[in-house]
Amino acid sequence: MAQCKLTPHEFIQNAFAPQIAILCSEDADNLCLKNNLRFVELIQPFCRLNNETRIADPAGNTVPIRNLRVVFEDMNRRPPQPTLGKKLLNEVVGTTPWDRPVTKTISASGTRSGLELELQSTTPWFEAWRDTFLHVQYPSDHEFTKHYIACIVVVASTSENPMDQLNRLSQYQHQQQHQTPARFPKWFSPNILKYYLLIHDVTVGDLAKSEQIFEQMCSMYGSNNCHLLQINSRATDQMDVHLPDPWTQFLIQRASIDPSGGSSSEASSGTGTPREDVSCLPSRVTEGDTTDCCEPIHPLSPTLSPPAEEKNGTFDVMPAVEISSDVPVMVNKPTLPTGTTHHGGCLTSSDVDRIRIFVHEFCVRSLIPHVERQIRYLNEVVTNRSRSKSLLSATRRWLGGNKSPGAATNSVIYSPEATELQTRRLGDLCFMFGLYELAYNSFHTAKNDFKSDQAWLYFAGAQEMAALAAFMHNSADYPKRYLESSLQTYLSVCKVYNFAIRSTLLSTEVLKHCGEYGEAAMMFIKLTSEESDLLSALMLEQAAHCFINARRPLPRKYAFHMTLAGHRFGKAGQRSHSLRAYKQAFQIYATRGWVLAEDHIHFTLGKQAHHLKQLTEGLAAYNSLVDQRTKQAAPSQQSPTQQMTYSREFINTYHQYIQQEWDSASGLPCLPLPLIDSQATTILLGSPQEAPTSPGWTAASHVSLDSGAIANDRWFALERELVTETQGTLPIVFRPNLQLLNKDTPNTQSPMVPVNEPVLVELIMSNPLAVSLMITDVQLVFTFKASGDQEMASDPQVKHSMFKGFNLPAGAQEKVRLELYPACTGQILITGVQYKLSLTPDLVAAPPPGSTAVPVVIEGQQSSQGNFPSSTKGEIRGKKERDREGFPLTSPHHCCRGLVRGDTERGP
Amino acid sequence: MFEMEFAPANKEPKKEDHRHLNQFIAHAALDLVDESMWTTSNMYLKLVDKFNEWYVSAFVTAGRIRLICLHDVKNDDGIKNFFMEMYETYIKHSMNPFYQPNSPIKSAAFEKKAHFYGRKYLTG
Repeated sequence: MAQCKLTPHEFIQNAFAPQIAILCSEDADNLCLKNNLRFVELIQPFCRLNNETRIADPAGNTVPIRNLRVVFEDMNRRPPQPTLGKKLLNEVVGTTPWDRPVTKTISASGTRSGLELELQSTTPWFEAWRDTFLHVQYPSDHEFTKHYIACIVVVASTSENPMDQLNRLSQYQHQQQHQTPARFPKWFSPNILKYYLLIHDVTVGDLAKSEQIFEQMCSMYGSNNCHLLQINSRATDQMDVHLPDPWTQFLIQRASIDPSGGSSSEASSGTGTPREDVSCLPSRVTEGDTTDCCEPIHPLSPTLSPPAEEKNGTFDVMPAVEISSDVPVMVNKPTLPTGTTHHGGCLTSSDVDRIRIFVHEFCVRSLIPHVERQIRYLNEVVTNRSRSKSLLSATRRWLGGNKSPGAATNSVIYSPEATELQTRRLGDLCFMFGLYELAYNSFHTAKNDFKSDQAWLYFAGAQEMAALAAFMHNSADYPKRYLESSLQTYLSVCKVYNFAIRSTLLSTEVLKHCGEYGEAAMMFIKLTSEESDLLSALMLEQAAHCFINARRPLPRKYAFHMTLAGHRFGKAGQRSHSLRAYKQAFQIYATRGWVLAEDHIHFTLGKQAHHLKQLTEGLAAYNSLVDQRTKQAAPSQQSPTQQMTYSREFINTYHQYIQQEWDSASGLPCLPLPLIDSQATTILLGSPQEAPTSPGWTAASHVSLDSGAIANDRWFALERELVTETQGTLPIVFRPNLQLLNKDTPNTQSPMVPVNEPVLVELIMSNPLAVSLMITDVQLVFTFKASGDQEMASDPQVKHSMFKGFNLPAGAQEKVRLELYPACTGQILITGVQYKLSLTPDLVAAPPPGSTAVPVVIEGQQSSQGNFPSSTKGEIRGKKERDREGFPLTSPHHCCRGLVRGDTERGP
Repeated sequence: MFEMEFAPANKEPKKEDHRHLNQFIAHAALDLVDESMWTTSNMYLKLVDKFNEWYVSAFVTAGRIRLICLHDVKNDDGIKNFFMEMYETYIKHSMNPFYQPNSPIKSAAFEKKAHFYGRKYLTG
């Protein structure tokens, strides 16, 4: 059902969680690295407050906040470059495993019977993609939710002068924030909250000294803004693996996000997803080079000033050093874990509790009061504005200079302190801390202001947030049109696709929550574009899921969009996803008579499976393409060229399959081509294949394969008389010997054949395709079981002939005659026919350069299951009959006549 | 889902390059046909779906046989007339005692008629 793990409310709350910057000294990070974790990672699992906290709104009412989640980020982290970001997204999608689809009955509208479908109940790859997408976004100027609201400065008590270091780091932060032009990272407001953390290593450090430093800190920065965190209460060598490892799930994310770590490439290659996106690779190589040669970068080193500047949403290409600075400690530590190492080895459970307490203290005692103050301040600013209209108009006039007349672009530039932005800031702050009503009001005001200023990007952002705030406040009643129009503005006016995508992701969740699946699907479809195949594929897939989950499911729409998604997945290089999407779509198209669509899906399935080395599956798909047995009612409507492609692909895949996967011990696999008309198969016993050609000679037999109607009755009567004559009495059940077995003869008994006389099998092969086929080396497949006391002859017990081969033109029929000569008595079981199949060489037009011009020949068989008249399974018992004269093979005319006449005359 | 076997009703005497795509679109449109046929008493449903530059018109007979037409130019009257004529042809054809209802139509005369009306109303 493509349900997400999170409810829309949780998702929206997570998407707009307050961001806290972490500025960590090298010593402190080193302390944490004893646990194979950096500081940021160390506190990652604890960033959600489980208990309820309270926050006061400007009017003084306290509002409860449940499950407040804060996001801790390294201050020097940069969102990856657009190309790198794309690659990350691609990898995340490629590596996320998915569950087995669940079978579900869909009652389609207008159909009486339900439809059994295998549906993907969750789409974890989509969620992973979504999370990564939100994570790699650049913060923008028009909104503040991604701006750091506070900064935690972390130092270790083991360092030489922690106080000095604190001071330096704090100044570094200040300098970062107030440099002009403003650079990354972006800060929420000029006076952000600063929090000071002292890490104390219990095993190494001296607690008294640490406490002393901590007191100094408290006196200097205020006790509410300082914390002493004791970790590493256990020596490193005491590994206790019984403790749960809450870090693993966060570190997986790190591995895929970490741009220079080798783990991401390993992970993706592990799933066998072939990456086609070669254009990304050079950037990876340069990263590796730079990180290898550069020294560990201390956060204070002057080379680190981030040069990235934002100019109307486009970014300068950052030098490679920039990226490596995300993880300055990590890349230069070769001992760093790649996922298998146990994390937090030095932490006892009380350490973990201390970390939890630290986060809680930080939020409750420092962050929330700070936020309350900010909200109050901003609220005052905003209300002041409404009181003094003159100020507003003054601002307007001042802003008017920047406004290009009548332009529909987002050319309006607000100063960071403009009232409109303060309103927006207030809204964001309230939104992040769960004061949705107040947030809605401010967003609404901001929206109207931005609109009258024609600042479209700002307008769209505020409108989107207003809708979301209304939804979060009261999910039943929210302004849907806000979402639509903000998406429209993002897309058509501002052309900021990233925000449009984000907006879609959020609003579709909202729409799905409200049961408006059709609308959600439309929104997803709106985002599909020519540029990003992966994005389009994901969007189409979600749209498809929306269709099937709607109150009145639209399975055909689902299938159609699934097919489109599969197509885009294929183009994006996500073959396994493509295969999956096509398979799911195929369930709808199967056996409904839409043969062209079916063929297309089969062909793509075969192609993708072939590329993924799932040869069995690919072969099955191709098999159903060329197999005409099931489609006899409606022959393939494909053009000959198309059929040619299909057959060639089929033969190639088959060839590989035989070489790589097929177990040759079990014979040859079954071929669907050409058709063998099982009802027309005939078997002639004990007669020569060719009629004697010399004049005056005739076969001493009443039957041949070419003879038409046979007067069997007369010959049976003759045989009966003969038997009566020689043996005196008739056996109780007299069974005349049949010489010619076809679909009309009673074939339940195994026929007898004299030793050294031929068994002649005639098959009719027909070619259902519009492509001519080459069939060579046809021979029968049989098993021979010699009866008991036979001397083991050195020469083969059964001689059989091989039919050289022929060309079977399109739509033609051909008779094939195959002979067997049993050389001793026993049982012969003919199981089938074996042949080599290839495309007719002269029609294999222009083989691609580099490949050999020799057509691929595949060998296969068709088993006789049902190929022989009325299920005799073609069992022939060869029996040595010394006491009874068999008919001579070829004999002079007169001799034969005499013998036959003699027999007849001996009768009464 | 027996109606789907009436793919021959999908007469498009123009391009043939994206035949499978056409089928995909027409097939997807059936959903919307199913939905919209309950909302109106008319047999002719006009435009029911559109995908990129393709429009889908549909016609539902009294026996719930669905005729689908995929086209890239708007031609309301022509399509309506075409559907009416095809409906009549289909009824005549279904009166043939040798024709089994709900099976693919394999009749040269039917095909000829379809071609004729197609030329008359759709391309004209």
